[in-house]
Amino acid sequence: MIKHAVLFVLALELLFLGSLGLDQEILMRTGESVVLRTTPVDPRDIFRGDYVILRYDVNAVGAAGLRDGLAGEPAADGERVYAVLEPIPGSDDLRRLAYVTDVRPDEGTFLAGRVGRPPGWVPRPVGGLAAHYGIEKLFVEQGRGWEIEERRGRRDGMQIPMEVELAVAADGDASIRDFRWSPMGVTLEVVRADERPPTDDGDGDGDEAARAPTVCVTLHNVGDVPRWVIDPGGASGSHCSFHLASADWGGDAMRTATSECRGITMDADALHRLAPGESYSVTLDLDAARWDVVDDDGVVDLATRLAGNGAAIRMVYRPDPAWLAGLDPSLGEAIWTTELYTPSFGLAGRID
Amino acid sequence: MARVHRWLHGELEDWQAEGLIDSRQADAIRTRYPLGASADWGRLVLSAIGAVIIGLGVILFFAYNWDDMPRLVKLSVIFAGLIAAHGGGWWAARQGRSRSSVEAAHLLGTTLFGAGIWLVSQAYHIDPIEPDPLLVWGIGALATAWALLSIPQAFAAVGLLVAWTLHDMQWHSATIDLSPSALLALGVLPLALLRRSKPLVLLTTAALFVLVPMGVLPGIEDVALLLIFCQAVALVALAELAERFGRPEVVPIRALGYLVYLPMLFALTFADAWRLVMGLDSEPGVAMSVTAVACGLVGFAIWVSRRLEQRIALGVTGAAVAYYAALHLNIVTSFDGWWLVLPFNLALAGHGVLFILDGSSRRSWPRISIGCLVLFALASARFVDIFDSLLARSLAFLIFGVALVAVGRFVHRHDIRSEAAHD
Repeated sequence: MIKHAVLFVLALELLFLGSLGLDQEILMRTGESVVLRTTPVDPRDIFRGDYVILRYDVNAVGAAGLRDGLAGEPAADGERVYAVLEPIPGSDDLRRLAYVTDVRPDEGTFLAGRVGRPPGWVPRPVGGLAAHYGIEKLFVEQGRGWEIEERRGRRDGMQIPMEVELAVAADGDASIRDFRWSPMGVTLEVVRADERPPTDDGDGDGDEAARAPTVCVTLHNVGDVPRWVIDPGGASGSHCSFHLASADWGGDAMRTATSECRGITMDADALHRLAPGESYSVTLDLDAARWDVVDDDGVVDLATRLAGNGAAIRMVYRPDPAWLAGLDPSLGEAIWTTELYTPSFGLAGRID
Repeated sequence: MARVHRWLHGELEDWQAEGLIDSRQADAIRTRYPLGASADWGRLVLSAIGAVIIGLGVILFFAYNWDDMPRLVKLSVIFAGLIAAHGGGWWAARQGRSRSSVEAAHLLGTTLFGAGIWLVSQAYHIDPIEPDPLLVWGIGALATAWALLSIPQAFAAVGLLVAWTLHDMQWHSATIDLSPSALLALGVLPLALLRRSKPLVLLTTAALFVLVPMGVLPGIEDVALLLIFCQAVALVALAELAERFGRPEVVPIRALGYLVYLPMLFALTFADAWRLVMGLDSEPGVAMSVTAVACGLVGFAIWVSRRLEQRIALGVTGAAVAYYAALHLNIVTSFDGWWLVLPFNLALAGHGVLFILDGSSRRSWPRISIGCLVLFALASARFVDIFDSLLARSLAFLIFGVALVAVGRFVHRHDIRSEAAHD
């Protein structure tokens, strides 16, 4: 009896391992292929042992990105959530976060996850939530993790997003299939920052406002083929392909009040060719009127907006798809039209 | 018992040489008290540890995550290893091979099962793994332990389930959870009792001793020490009960019980500490419930104890605990002064004397040493703090010293009379 019992236990163990692996194997082979770009690295990413921690825009979502029962109500740890994805304009397979909801969608591509901190450290956005989807760890051969860390970049250097291919099931379960590197990298440098907080100098004129920083954003071609970046308004300093975005993911980009970029047309100066290894840099004085933002209170300068709520922001390169109409069709995919985010930074110029 | 038989066999030659017994009588004694088959524990332990380390080596090998090895090949290797290990153990048992070989093979199989869980999660980048891999691994070891009635497998199961509990507590420390304790109590303890394994009973009891308070702590932090006190008394009582019913494999838990009970009793002899230990600042309902349990357990320990001295010592403890129950119920409202902690002092002194007398009658120096340590600690503590008046303190020490001498003389005379009556 004992001899048969141990064989029975062995069969159960094999069955458990088999079912654990089979589920995943079926998902890998039949799941919808979705590519998510990892978000910029912050210093709290930790490489531990033999896996790399991955972070996506679906992991830390601001209040603007929450819908249904999650909007306005704090979500409990462990609560089931669904991150609905949308295509990134200009890309065939890249997706980005559209919004997060607690109601399972009937259609479209979404990831099923749970509220709670994913591996490593992720700050929960104020009024938002942190969630994990089982796709935050990439197990690699010993030693390769450091290579990936180095290539992915650090906060004060060039950062190259990883583009992670997922297999996504109809119920939102996802598994990592493979990854590739974005052919474009980005560097953020704070050229000038005013570290003084707004003060009252006692002259009766009210608070002396702080200044928004001046930053330099550089796009790098880290691929093997020449690429083109679009940036109309470069000569006038408008740099219409660059936008402000909240540090929290989800929701729309911050609206600026400027009309400089409305109706702007492509000219020869707007297109910049980057050979492999070449870069394109823009210096942006965020204290200029060009970057005044529109919110519920009307038009405010960026420094006042950031000082008011202590928020951090990002720069994002995101050319208008309409600009492609006037371009040489032979350039095709060589034109870099997908968005690229910088690390977040605050009013004082500190990069997160 | 085997140790006693070995001693006896060792004495037989000397007795024959001295002419106390002849060779025929010596053979008869050897036959009546055989040495028994050698357990060959050394080989079993080394084989078991070696098997586990081999399994850990396999885990490390796959943790390297060699990119050149396809995923399905890695999985096939681990599956084949699992079948080979358990299958090899099963075959060895059928062939009548040594117990150590069979146990080692199955331990390797259990370790490879754990390796398989980690490997599948690594190959498919699964995180988190649900259910918890340590839990599944522990259940696998427990199932194998029951299938084979194996003590080494049960040891592995205890280790894994404790590791699971500690790991799980990081994420769920705010919730009450007794499932790990239930798994150990219902899954491992019956096997330990069935196999009459002292080490397994002791290990499982020690694990439960730690896990039960951890499991209920989120709800009753303020009475945690009182809960631990209850557990210690329960272990002493259960050991007494086991001794009564001829279950020697359970008796060692008494040592674990005293290991906690005596220091806590010592703490309760201090007027400042009793408030903390007895949880008097906690929510009345919770504290009352736990205090009632403490009273019940002490009463149970008194009932099962066969020795009058132990009953007296436990009885004094019980009276003190009951007094604190009365405090919670507001039956008694005054709790100032040394009279509150005096019962605990008397109980601890009683236990110290008990250990010395018990050790003396059994010729057990560890027991005598523990008794001496208890009395020394008590005397040292009270030398500086009992009663504000030095005169009263002096009187207390004189009375106590005389009492100890009197008890020693009384017991000695009682023993002499008993020996004379026996002769």
